[in-house]
Order: sequence, then C-alpha cells, then structure tokens
Amino acid sequence: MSQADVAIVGAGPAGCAAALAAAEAGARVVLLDEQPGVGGQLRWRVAPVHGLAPELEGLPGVRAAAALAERLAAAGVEVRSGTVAWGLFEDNVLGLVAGEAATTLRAAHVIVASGSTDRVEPFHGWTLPGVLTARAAQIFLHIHRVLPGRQIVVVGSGAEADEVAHDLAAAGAEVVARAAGTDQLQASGDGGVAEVQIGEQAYAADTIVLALGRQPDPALALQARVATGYDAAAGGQVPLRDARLATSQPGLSVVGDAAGLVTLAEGWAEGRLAGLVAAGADDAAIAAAQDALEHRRSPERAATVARLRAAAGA
Amino acid sequence: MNETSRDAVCICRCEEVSAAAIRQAIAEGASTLDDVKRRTRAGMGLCQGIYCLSTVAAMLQEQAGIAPEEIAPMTARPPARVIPLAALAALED
Repeated sequence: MSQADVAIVGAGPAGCAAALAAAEAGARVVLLDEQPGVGGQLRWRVAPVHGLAPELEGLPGVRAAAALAERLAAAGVEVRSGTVAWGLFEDNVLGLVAGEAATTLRAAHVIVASGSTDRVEPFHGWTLPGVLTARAAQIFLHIHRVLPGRQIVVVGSGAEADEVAHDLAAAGAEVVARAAGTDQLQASGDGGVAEVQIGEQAYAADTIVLALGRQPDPALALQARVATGYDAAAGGQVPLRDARLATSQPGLSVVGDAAGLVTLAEGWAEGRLAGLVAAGADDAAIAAAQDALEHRRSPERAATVARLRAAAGA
Repeated sequence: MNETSRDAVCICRCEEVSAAAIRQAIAEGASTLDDVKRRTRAGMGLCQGIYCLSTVAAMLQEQAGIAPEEIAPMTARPPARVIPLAALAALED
C-alpha cells in the first residue's frame, strides 16, 4: 500500500486546483484520474476557459489542460493518469486499478473531485447505435478527431447544447435539427439511427446528440456513506459539506461537479480551498480561499449552497 | 407515444429493463431506488445506474408521488467502475 498526505480523485479543474494548492502548502499529493491525461472536461473542450488561474485565462480547454499538466509536474504532484479509483474504504484507503495492476493508497485526506456524467432520458429508439451524449460527441471530435456522424440532431436547450452544436458544425457535420427535449423525439433505423422524428416532422439523420445537462457523480463519497441532501439546482442528491467543503466523514472532502453542478471558475475555487484545508494550510490562506470562492458564486448558487449547508448542520 | 409504446421503452439498457417492468415494480410497492433495483435489476449493470437512475427517480415521483428529496441515492458499493477480476485477485492485503 502506498501513502500520501492528500489523495485527489479526478484531475478535472477542481481536482487540479486542489492538487496545486495542497502541494503549495507542503503536502505530498497524489492526483488520480481514469483518463490518460489531466484536465477532465478541459481535455475535450475547445471553448475558451475563464476564471481558473490567471495564466490559463482565455485559453481553449485543450490548451489549458496541457498547461495544467506542466504546472502539476513543476509543483511536484504525483499524477497517476489511467488509474481508476474504484473503491473508498475505512481509514481513507482507496482501491486503484491501472490496466491489470491493482494497488491501494492510504491518504490522511481524500478529496473526491470525480465530476459529473451527462444526463440521459430514454425515448423510442434511444438504444440504437448513433445516439450519444454531448460529451461523447466532443470526445469524438476533440480527442479522437473524428466526426461521430454526418447528419446530426442535437437535443437540449442549454449552453452545452449550443456548444456541441457549434463544434459539430465547425468540424464539418450537418446539424439537421435541434430539439428542446426528448418529449416528442423518436429514432428509428435498421442497426442504427436513420430517421429522427421531432413531433410530426421527420429528418434523415445518422446521429442524435443528447445535451440534456450534467448530473453529479459522487460515487466514491457515497461508498463512504457521507450524508447527502437533495437540491434540484445542484443536480440532485449531493454530499453535504461544511464551509471548508468537508463531508460528514473525517478526512473526506468533495469538490466540483461531484458535490453539485458548478461553473469552471467555482469548481476551481472549491478545489483550491479543499486542497489548502487538506494540507493543513494556515487560517489566513484558508480564509482567502473561502473569500475567492464566495466571489465566484452567483447569488442563485450561493442560495443553493446555503440551503445545503443548513441541511448539513441539521 | 401511446401507452403500449411507452411501456416498451427500455429504461435500464445495461440490464434490459423496460418501462413496463419498472412501473409494475412501483405498482407492487417499490418506493426507493434500491427497491426498484432489487425487483428489476435496473441500475445493477455495467454503468451502475449512471444512465437510468434519474429516470427511475422521475417514475417514482410521477407514479407513486414520492418527492424527489425523499428519494435517497442507490446504495453505493465498490467497484465504482468496471475493473478486471484478475486485478482484484492479485491485490496485496
């Protein structure tokens, strides 16, 4: 079994910020991610990022991810990419698998920064090949550099739907229709999507991209039986946390989308705060990180956090 | 969509559980995600509920009138991801 002061699961923006902050405060840090590189969602997004570190401001996501890899190396963080954290056991022992090799890691403090998954809603034909989520489409485009399809229906109405529709068109696919939701949606075809119906209107299409928003994925924290609370704005049932982002379990924090959906900037600020707390940084540094986090929250999000924090105290 | 075609929609694709099977489980008294899982296997497959549990929760709300805040997460157990058994067998103590 290997040991660390701070182990962080998930190398997205929140996890990277936590790792950098904890290393800066003098901790031995291990940063784990199941993907082959760091950056999380930044790896497959080309839109400019805002509100992370000053030197990352305005970079396309993929470039910000590359810059983060360099910063982590310079800060002495042990990055283990391609490593799946599949279990969180008593005394903060993580079960890990990299390829066929299984190991364990014990850390004084574990930070779960495992992000979110794309929401899916079933409809007629949704299990046909050719139906995929927005992030799957972006991984096709920006990591594997292939089009997921030629004639594409994009479903969803938020900023994520606009972003993936834009990226698909820019890459040369035809976005044949947009649908607000799955209510009136049907797909049919022999062995794959060939026709898509939105209400009465039929379209020839080989691909449906579902951009229905994200949902928190705090599976490891739930294994540790942290107290949870429901908040629709946060994306459902999420781990409850105190003002230092600690859960009901000692030595366990959750940051970023895994604890309730956040912007990149807020996830980054959460990661920094939790990293400093986990590394035992001084009170002044922690207070400054708390201030920075408050400043990155919208009034609506601040209200959500306040509701969840009240539930944690109850 | 008419009633029959609504019933045929697959909800949990990992375990191939239809909407009809989940509705029946709820009609028979299932009132939590764990109840539905134990009766139908919805959420027990490869993705561990990532794709279907929000739909099952919505069906519990719609059919049984259970408020979303009353619907606890499915009991989480390791492994959180698909891993090779050979790797587990080789694990040191």
